Amino acid sequence: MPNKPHLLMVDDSDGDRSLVRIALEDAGIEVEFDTALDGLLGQGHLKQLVEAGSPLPKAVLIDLNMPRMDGRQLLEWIRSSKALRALPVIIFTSSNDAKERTHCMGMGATDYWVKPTRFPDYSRMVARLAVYLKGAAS
Amino acid sequence: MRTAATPSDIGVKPPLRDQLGQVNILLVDDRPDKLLALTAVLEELGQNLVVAHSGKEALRLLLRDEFAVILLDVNMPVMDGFETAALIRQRVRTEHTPIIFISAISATDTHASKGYSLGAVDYIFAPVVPSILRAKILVFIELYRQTEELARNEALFRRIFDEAPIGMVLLDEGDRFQKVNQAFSAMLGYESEALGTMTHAAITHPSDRKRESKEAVRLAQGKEAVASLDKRYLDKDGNEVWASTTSICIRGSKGKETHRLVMAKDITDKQHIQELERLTHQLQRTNAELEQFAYIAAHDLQEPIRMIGSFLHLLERELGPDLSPRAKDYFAQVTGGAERMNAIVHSVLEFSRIDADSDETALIDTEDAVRREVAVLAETIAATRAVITVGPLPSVRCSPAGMSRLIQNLLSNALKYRSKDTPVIRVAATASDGWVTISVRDNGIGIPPSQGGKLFILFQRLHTRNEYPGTGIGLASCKKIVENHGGRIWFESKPRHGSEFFFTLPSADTHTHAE
Repeated sequence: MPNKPHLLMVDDSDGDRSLVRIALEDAGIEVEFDTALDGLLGQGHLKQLVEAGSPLPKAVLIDLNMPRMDGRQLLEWIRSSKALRALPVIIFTSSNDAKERTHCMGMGATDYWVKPTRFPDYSRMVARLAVYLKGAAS
Repeated sequence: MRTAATPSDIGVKPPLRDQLGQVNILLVDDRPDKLLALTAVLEELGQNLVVAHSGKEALRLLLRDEFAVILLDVNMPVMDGFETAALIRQRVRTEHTPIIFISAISATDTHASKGYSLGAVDYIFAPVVPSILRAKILVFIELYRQTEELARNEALFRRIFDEAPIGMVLLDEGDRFQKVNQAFSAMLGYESEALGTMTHAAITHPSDRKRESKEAVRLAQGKEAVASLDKRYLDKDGNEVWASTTSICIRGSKGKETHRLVMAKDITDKQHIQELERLTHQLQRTNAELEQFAYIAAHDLQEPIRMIGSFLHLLERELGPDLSPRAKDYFAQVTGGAERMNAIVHSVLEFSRIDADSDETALIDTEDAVRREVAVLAETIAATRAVITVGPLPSVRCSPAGMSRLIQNLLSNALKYRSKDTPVIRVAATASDGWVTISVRDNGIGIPPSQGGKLFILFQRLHTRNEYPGTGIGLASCKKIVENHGGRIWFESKPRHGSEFFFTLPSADTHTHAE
């Protein structure tokens, strides 16, 4: 399957990564699901893609609180990078704090999603992700 | 309690001199011509000369007035000079009044020595040499004036000592109380007589005795002119009394310490205030730490709870058709538990954020804020067919997040605790003195008077979960939000007739309190 779109999820929670993967499979969405366990690894992954001229992910899901490099730092780095400036970045966090939301949107996040507490809501969320994955081919 | 000094303490002695500064001189002789001669000699001294013609008259005058010196004729009928002098000396008041005998009797030592033994300060033989007599008398006038000045100064200083608003004590070399003023006895609840039998160390807190005696030694050695020490006394009942003390050393003629003067100001209140401040500070810190702890704990609990709920769902789906009805019920129980846990964690998280949110106040369009929360609750409102009326509401100063939570909590409570009737909810407001009182009234089940006290306390619930779901955090949050803005919250209720909640917030035109 050479032309499947890529989705990158940067999150240190095994459970959250599994739930998104299962929801994607359930919905039958054709996607290369790449994951990184913290901000630093996510940054490394993106750097590699840019250097190699490989296709970028259609969207990046970033958790906020992670060890080594947190989501805010990663978002800031992405928005300061010429190659990644237009990359859709969705903050995916358990915090529904209004201040946090405002801060992230101000830093250039494309959207801010609060992690669902029930599995059926993951399915709903994945449906929204599909819109990004179908976006303009790169 | 201190009492004012009685007049007798202050006046000490009747006026000794008249306005011209004259002193009284008593001339006693039975012969008018001799009195006249003495008067002629002494007149130019410019003092008040009083004459007496007998010892008896002299004694009467001495009862009435004070005299700087007495010139007493030795040879008088009835009561001679010696007898008169003996009686004068017997009286306390005239015990020390100088007496100069004047005698015509030729120089016999026996008479003179008898005179001296009776307390005469001088013995002069007639005829007197005027200039010598004047010179002698002048010495006594001067002595009298100095004594008088000393007495006045002593009275003044005694009064200052007694009346001083701070405690003062004079200690002897053995640390015993020589003098104690009213403020000092009052400070420790002792009678000054009771202190007379004690040492200064005995009423000093055992833990401060060493420091105090070290200071006293340094003072005595002259290493310090003044010693200052904050120390604890023990009052009559053994309670600690904090005092800020200043001590000085009083030295005798050879420079050796004879007394120590200690001045002590009661600073127990100040110490209490400092202690209170310390405790308040500690409480604030602990409180902030607890809030931070609650926030982190609740925040970190979210992920595992989400996992439990979501994977349970997946597990149930996986097992699907194989599940017995009983197993399905178990799944429902666990899922319900996870959802409640999630609700609690969510509320705790919000509660722990209230203080941080309250720091950012803004002008709030109250009507707008209510409309927004009504929109959030649209589903429940439609389901319950509730009628919500929103009266004109003036703007207020509040944190936007706090305002949103306040209205949301009160409106959802009004919907949740509805009776069998259609919910009718009214949001209204009144304004006065820079404050806006907002009220939310419902026609719900009401609150039993006996339960009202629990209402605003964290995790206190009036109903079982089966009757009404909830976490017991909503109204506690409301109270905290309102109080953080300097306002208050209360309610009025009649069971089965509904409740009305009131809260106050600063009106839009007032400036917020210090933040």
